[in-house]
Amino acid sequence: MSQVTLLLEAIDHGDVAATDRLLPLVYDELRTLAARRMASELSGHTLQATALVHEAYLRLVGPDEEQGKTIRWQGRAHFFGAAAEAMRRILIDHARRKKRLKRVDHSPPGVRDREMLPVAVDYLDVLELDGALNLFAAQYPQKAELVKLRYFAGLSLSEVASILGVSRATANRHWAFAKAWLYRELCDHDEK
Amino acid sequence: MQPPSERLEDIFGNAIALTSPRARSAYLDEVCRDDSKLRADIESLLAAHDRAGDFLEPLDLELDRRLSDSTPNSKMSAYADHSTTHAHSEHDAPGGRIGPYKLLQLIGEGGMGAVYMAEQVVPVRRQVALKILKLGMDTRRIIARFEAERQALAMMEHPNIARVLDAGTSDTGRPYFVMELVRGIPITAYCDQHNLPLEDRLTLFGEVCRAVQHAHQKGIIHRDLKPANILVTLHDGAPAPKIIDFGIAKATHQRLTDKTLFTTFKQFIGTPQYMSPEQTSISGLDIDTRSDIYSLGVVLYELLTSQTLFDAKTLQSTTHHDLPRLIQEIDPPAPSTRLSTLGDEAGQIAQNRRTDSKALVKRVRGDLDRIVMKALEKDRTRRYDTALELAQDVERHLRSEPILAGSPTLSDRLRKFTRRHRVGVIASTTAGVALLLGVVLATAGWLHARQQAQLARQAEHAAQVQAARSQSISDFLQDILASANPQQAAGMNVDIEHALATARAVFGDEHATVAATMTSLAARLENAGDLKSAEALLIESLSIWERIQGKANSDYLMTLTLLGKVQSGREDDRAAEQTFRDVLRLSSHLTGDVIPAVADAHDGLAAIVAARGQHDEAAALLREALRVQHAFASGQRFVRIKRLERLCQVLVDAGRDDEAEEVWRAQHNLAGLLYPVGSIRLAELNMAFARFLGERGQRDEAEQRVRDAIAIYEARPLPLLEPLILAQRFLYEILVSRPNELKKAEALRRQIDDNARHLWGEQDLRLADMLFDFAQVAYRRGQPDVAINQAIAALRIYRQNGHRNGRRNGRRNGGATFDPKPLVRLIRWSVLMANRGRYSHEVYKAAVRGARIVVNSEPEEGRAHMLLGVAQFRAGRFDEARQTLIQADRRYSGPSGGAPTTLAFLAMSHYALGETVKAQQILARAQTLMQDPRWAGDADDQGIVNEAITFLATYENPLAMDHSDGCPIDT
Repeated sequence: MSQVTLLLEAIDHGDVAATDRLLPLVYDELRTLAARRMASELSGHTLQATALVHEAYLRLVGPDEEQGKTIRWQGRAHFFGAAAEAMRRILIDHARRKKRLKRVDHSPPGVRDREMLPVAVDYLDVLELDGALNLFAAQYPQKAELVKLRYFAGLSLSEVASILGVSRATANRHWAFAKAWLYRELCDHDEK
Repeated sequence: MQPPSERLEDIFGNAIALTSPRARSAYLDEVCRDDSKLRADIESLLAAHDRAGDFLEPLDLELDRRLSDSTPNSKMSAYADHSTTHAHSEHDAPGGRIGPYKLLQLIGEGGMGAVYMAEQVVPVRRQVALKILKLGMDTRRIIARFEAERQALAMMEHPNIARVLDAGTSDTGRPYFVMELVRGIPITAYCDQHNLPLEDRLTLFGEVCRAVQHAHQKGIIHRDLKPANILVTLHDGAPAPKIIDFGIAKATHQRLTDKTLFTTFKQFIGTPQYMSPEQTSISGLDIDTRSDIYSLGVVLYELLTSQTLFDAKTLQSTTHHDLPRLIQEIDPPAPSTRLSTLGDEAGQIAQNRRTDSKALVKRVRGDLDRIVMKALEKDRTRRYDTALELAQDVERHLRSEPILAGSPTLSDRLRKFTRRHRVGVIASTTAGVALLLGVVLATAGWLHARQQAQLARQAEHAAQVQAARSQSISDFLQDILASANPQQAAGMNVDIEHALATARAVFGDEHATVAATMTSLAARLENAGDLKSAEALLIESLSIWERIQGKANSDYLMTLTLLGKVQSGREDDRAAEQTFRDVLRLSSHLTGDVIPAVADAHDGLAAIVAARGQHDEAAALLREALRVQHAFASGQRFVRIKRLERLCQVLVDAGRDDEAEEVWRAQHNLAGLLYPVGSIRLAELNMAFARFLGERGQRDEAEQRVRDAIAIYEARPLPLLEPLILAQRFLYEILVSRPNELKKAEALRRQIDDNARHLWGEQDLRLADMLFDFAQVAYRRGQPDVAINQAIAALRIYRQNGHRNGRRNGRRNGGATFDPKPLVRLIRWSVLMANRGRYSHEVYKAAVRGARIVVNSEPEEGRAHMLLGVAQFRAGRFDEARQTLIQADRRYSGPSGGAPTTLAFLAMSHYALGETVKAQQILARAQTLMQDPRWAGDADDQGIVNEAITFLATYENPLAMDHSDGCPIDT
């Protein structure tokens, strides 16, 4: 059984300490997968963050699930939470690195070069989003978690609802609020 | 009292449930009362909500379903296609009609379309199968092709062939085919579910072959034979196979050179597993009946082994470039070999055939192997000529009669040899072992020229020392691996398998020959993609080598490196890393010359380490690989270029740009020597180098490289527009940065524009994207007029597309995919930038045009109005400007309290119209705002407010305007 599966099992059984050990493993896996994709020679490739997360899940836990292991919702929740967090860090790292390599850009804020990231995020600078998300999380931690799971791990609203332990309707409301808040924040940021 | 944040949420949640603005307003009145701050907050959130659209929504909806699905469906229903299931039939639903047929039930879906059970009423009432294809297929051509065969199809009457009854076009323009409804399951599933023993399966298969023969005689080739198209139904209690989709594949067949077919694995038309090599070839050979025979061979393979010819993992990891090569060149393992390397699964598979795994392998080995492999010959002249021949050979086998396939093979010779030599052969010395290994690996294509020469010399020496013994051993191997051409003898792998068994028998388990043969077999398995078995064999081989001669020798290292590659291929990076490091460690103990395997190991390790972000180490490893390679240079220049490329990448990642540049140059030189003049690869390398140089600021050289690339693209008989455009755009960016080359740049831009319109058409979003890019470049170069015009052109195209989409989906604001925000920003900044210089009136008129479009797309957006107002002011239309800006200000009064820019221009507009007092009031507001921390530091806003102050102070007589900013009074 993979290390990750063992940890997830432990989490299922309530061992909260295991969550700390989960992130580095997930992070490593995602970094490897991401780097491999980015190094691929196929032209015009894009990095689908959500696809990576699912692939990571399949690679880390999949074989054990095939053998009959089932991970319950707590374990899954933690996996995807860790994966979303890891994915976020990877994207930010990458964005920062690209920014560093680019020559000093004299264009005014707002006129952005869409080729900055190979990641399929349209018109959205991950760094900006990260800033906004941090602000958001200070006031609305649970909603921020929801955004992370949805955006970085690509989970559906019903999945997120079950992971966070709220009703689907609540998840919908939270999501609408979070979107509006973040959109507003990013627009205002552009304004200046 | 609720915490304020929760209260905000609640109100928000309730407000969005109210759809009419009046209801919302009323609700807010009630809830906020006189808390204007709260109200402003909510309103801005609501505005954001209305505009957010699909902001942040995950992109791939497929994943949603995959995760929530429990288990993949193991039960196969009729027509269930092995390929993919995309649920997308929005328009057809049971109860609908297609032509004269009434749809009853959806039976299955595949890559090309969907199949329904339908009812035919006239001329006779019966149930049929209706296959309707996806939109986007060229209906006219498809139907035309089908018509061409319709006559022949009508004459086809065979109990094992499902008849195609009709074809037509639906109202929505999609082609459909109507076929006899067959209630059955794919032949492979049927055999497994009913645990049919081999004999029964072969009998069924024979019937299938005869049916195919019947069709071939009528001149109809199926082209898409696969288990999903060979269904088994029960007829009077006995299983009867029925082939479906005859004649359809040809009609819908598109040339496989069409790039669109290769976009992703899933979109393959024609299932790749079953495609014959000629079907995957670009050379456009005429497909004939022998192609069907190949497919039958694949089906037989599955009936015997329950394994697909190439395992799914190999196919998935094969890029579309390699897929044809895979099918055309790589030999799959023979059925018995495949079975014997299966491990645990073999038990289940044997059970499905009412036997045990050992017996199954034995049963399949020999005749059946040969029959399958003959049908699967890459060279179609070596396959069975007719499906009847294939059926007959199978029947002969069932009657234990000698079969056609397999002329006197090497295995026969092997048997003879062992009988002759078993008594007299003794284990040979190390020299002899090296010789053996050399011969074995040479034929597996592993050794390099120089080493072969070396070993030949050793061989001579060995022969002199122990003439008889070495000679007989080398004879033995020559016998086994006589052909250098890997495609020659049918069932080549079978012979190696035999060779292995025989070598063991002859030399015992601990002999170099055995190890060498294992390695050779592993290399072939690796090539075929069977990595699991390759790994197992290599590990065994390594232990034999170790026992015979220890680890510090080239044999061991070569095998170990191959193991590393295999582990890498299986994505077991931890193990691969360990293995490669072992190779490196051991190679330092190696006496004698360096071997290429060491370079390969450095290379492999570099890839693993780079993926972890340890770029410096990766760079060092790659350099070492190149150094080692240098020592035996010949014939490896392509590998060298690839290594140099990887080294560049790694150095760039590590931030060692200077070194990267050196390496780039080395690679560039080498490529120049290696690739023929005018080859596309050369152009690609030039482009990549140009980009690199561009980032380093070496524009002049970058320009040279780009021009080289462009020259190559333009010189092609059919100029490759897409890469040409990219290259030209890069050149454009270079030219446009030089003030004295602006004319050239403009001329180039027109060329690019032409090319783009030629390639994509006038309404393509890619064209819009490109225009937008040009706009940004123009803006950065301080040419707001060009920027505005390009942006307007782009905007128009976006709106057109968004408008179309909007109507189709029935959305209100007509722009589902179009986000005008970047363009708004661009136009806005262009306009404001235009303020800083003296631009002609034309610029401002253009700005007004652009701003109008923006306002029309975003009527609620305050900034759009501001933009328009500014443009109107600059264009001298003060009255309009005032009106617009008042609107803009109104939209802004909320927590932002109005934007300084809007207010400044509004003040100036009032002033220009003689409303001095109003002007002062508004200006005062603007100045107050500039104290607010949100705008305090903003130079642009401050600049405009200053301008307004100057404006109001300088012009005593507001009616005698002479605005030296380039805004004449005449409109």
